[in-house]
Amino acid sequence: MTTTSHLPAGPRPRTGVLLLFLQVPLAAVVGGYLLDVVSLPVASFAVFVSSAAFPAWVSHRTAVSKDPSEPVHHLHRYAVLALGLVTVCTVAVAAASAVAGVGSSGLWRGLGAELSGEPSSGSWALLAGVVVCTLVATCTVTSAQVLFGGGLGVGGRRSPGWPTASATSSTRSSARLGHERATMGAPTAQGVVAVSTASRSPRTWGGGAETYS
Amino acid sequence: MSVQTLPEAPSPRLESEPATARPARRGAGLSRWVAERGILFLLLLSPVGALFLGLLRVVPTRVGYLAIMLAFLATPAWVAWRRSASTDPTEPAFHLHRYALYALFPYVVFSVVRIPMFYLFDAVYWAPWQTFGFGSTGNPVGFWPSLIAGATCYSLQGFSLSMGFFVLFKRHNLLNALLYYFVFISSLYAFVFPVLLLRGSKPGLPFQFINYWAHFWMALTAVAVPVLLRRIWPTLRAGARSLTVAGLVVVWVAPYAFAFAQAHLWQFGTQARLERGAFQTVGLQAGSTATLAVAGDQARYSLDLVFGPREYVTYSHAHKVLGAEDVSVSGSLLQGGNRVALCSGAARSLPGLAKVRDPEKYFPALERINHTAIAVSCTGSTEAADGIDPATPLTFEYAADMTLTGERTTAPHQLSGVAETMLTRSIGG
Repeated sequence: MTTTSHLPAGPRPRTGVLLLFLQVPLAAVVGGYLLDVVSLPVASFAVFVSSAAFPAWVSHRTAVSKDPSEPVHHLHRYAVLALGLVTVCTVAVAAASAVAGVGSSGLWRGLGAELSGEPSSGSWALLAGVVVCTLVATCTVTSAQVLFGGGLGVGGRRSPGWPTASATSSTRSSARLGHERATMGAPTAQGVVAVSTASRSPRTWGGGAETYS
Repeated sequence: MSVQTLPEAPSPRLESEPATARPARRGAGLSRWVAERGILFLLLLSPVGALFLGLLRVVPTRVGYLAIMLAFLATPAWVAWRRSASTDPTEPAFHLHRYALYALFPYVVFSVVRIPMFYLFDAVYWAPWQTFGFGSTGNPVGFWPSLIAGATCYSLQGFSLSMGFFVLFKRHNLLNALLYYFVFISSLYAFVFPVLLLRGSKPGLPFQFINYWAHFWMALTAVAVPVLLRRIWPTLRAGARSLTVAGLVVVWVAPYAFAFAQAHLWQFGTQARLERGAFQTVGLQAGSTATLAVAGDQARYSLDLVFGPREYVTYSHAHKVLGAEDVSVSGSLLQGGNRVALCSGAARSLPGLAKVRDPEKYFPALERINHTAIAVSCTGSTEAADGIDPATPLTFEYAADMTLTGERTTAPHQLSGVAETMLTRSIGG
């Protein structure tokens, strides 16, 4: 057995910005609720302002990126998977709370009451709390996929040069339309290596920087 | 370039084409439009949607802002998906970063051109910012936190409306810009602000003039900025580019700097002066009648003190009412120099207008509470009550301690007075 061991590369600056955006809801809750640095409604302005810049950043990166493995190209898949996972967990927690009295909605209600200014016993506070918690959890799980590779072990993240469905369609459309991302599908040197390893090993992660068999 | 890169030309309809194919194609066109532009438009307009959810009372105001939270991850995910799935290079998802740059300016120019209107019509354009700030954070109007939060809300709403133009229209020409900003947004603004938002103000012709004036310039800017950044910018030399950037920065900063400077230098001080003036105007008037009820060996007199006028006009020409908290009244009823009863009354706070969210109902409600009655109860002996001559007025001496509250100012206040009141009705007990 031969082991090709490369240390996982740290997040690249472009991934870093993406991660930064994804951490904003968590930062708002930590700063505005847990640490009480500012009030939660004020802290939530970080999310509001980021909501304007985040799509622009994603659009910019997908336009200029020549690396199809860059997480920004897969953000929609990561987000959908994360939302599914978080929804299942949320429903499970709610069901456990309702059936067995395990856990409680205290965090949701407290968070929601502070954010919405509504009484914590009311349904608006509960709704607000659930939305905020879901957003924070979804962003966190998405961040994990951005950082460690998408799929959360379900299928694994595709290595560079191993075209995903989206990358394939992008490449196809880019080539066909002469679009600004025409070079996106071109494999990088790193990507070429990763393709060869990926074809041998089904388990490739960390953007192809590390493979093991 | 392959044949597929050419723009899709309208295909001539075949004679044999079934009639059912046409609605199906129309449906496909609609669903394609929704996927390419409609959903992105809705997601980008979440700050405006949040405002509307609150204004239309679909949800409580601050709950409405959850719409932005929902759009926070949904919008970039949608953009990423559309960019990977779309084959149409004109689809807005491919150009969103450029549109975001363009959209930074129209809403700012919207306020820049309202600076002269401040001097012409005394229109405080940053006054709604504070309302937005209060609505989104709960911080009171008239202070920095609500002003800053409101400026951010306003900016997000303006930015998203500007993005809406670039996303909704394929051709960013003057006609479309005028249709969107000068006709559509102006009409919306002319309806939303007076009907749903401007409580305590009476927007007249100047308001409507400023509305259309500012949106007209917004439309021009929305057309001019892409021309500047895409066509003119590449032809500029380094010096001219620096000047252009400096000019854009000045334009961008101007409305905020002006509003904050005005607020700091004039608004807060003037507002405090206006409120202190209102504090001096307000008074307590005793009602002209008192009611006596005898129960056992006690005689109870009920009468009202009327507190008012509470209405005052703020720096931004909004009509508001003074608040009064921890109201404590003491006094006595006298007749012919003899004390008939000792009086007291209390109110934790007087009714306000915070819950009146409908501008249409605001002024009638203000009229109702402009003079607010404070109930006072006096207690004396039945012997003293028996000695009262109903034809002679009672003398009511009173003093009240309270905390008066305006938009910015809170101050302890004392009021006292003497009034004559007739005992009109006696109820035997």
